Amino acid sequence: MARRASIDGVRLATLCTAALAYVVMLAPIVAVVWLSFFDSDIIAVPPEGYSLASYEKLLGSSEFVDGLRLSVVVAVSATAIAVILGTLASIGIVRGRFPGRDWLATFFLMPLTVPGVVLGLAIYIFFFKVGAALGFRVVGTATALVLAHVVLTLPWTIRFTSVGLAAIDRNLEDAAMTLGARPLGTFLHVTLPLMRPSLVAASIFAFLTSYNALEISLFLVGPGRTTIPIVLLQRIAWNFDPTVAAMATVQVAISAVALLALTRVVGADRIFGTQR
Amino acid sequence: MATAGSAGRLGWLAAPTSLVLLLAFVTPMALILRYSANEFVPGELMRDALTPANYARFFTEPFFQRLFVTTLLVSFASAALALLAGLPTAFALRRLSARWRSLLITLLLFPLLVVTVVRAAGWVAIFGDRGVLNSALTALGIVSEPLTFLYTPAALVVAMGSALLPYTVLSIDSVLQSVPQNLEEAAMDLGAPPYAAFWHVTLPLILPGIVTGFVVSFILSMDAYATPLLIGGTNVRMMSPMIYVQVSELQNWPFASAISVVLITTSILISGFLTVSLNRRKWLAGQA
Repeated sequence: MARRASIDGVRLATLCTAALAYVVMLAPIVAVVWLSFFDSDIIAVPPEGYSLASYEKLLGSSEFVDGLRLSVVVAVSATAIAVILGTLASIGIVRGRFPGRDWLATFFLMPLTVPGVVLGLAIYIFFFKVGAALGFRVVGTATALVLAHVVLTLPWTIRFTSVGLAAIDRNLEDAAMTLGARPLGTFLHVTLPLMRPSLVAASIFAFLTSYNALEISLFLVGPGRTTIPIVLLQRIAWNFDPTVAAMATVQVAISAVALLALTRVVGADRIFGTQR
Repeated sequence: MATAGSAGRLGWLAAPTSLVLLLAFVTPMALILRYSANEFVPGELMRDALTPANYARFFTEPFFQRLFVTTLLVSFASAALALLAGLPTAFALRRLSARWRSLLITLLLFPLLVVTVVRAAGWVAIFGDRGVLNSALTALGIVSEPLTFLYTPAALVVAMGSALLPYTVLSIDSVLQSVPQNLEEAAMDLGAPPYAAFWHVTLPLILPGIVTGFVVSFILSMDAYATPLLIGGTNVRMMSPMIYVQVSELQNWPFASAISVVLITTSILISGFLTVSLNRRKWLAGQA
């Protein structure tokens, strides 16, 4: 009897902690979305009323519109480059046979292990030196941002595409070759279509990683050339109002859409490889 | 055969990526390491040198000593909080049906994909003087004057811990899935109290997941930028924001580089130490 009660007690405590954990994880996101509908110029709870005024202000804000444009351009460019380079690299390390292959695979994931600010600083100093040596400005250009974001997103595209590639049944490729297809034809018509889910997942994840990138861009943005996460950071620190919350809500919406797309393509359990 | 020959050549497809990372990742990191030994001369960026002065300054000036200790303490506390809340959450997820499980895992992944600045903004709104928490406490009549949450270590640890929770839950969940539930029940049927069944049967099996979750959380909080900046402010300073300040306000590249090297080295040393020493506990728990 006493044991039954103690098991029930443990179970109840477990469930309560889990519920609290979910509240704590989601509370800040819910708070931001809620705040964005406040009808006031300052953040004060409870609000005087609700309106969509902050979203109207957002559309008229050049800071937001320009930031959004730069963020999207950089994210799309970085994604395109990182997916192409990453797919090639995956074929090389999954299908190639050469000494040090495992080391190379580990090396490709290394940018993930460096703190964002440190990576940002390192690339900033490097671009500054390259610019000084070649006699033109690199820091503060969109190209510099794209290159930095490629370094940041490559580990993810390699990870997604190499998992997808390793899962492909090689008999299908062998069959195509036996039937007379050339290696390139086999790749384009057999391997690539089979890799589609992992390519889609890699693209979505790379886009989101670049679009959300904050630390690595800090040193590389310039006046009038600022990505959305940095605009957000500056505004939250200096002038946090419902318009900023609306700007943050747009980020939340983009993340939600990306997550839904990812779960459709690879399944929730597989996004971070928690499930084999 | 033909496949062996083409497999040999396929390796070259990894060359472009290797080149890009050598150029835009390895070279910049090597530059940082080199510049951390340079001399800072106000007004002229830096002077080439091979001096330990930047490191010596970091470890001897009280301001930076405090910065270092704060970074370590906040990171440990945040990772511990995430583990404390994440362990029961992973266990709760285990009992669910497939549909609920996949919904709750998706909800867990959601905060991971929302940029840190946005989540930090949410905590500013919750912890602010006129924020959600204070207005709730006032409405309930618990306090009459708003309490100060923002810019305190406790608020920072809660905000960071919540951001780390998904990592701890996911890494424990991934090992928990391979532990049969009836193992624990068998132990209890044989007379083991619930805590003993957990301690001697389940814990040793899931320890690798716990260690991974804790180490990943610890490293991520060491590296954190936006949350310490917005929730810790100037009261609770951490290393990542300081690196930015040294460059943006003082143009002190050598010192910023030295802080970077210390940050990375500390993370590697401590996570290596934790992984080795905590996994040894597996052996102890199994023997006890």
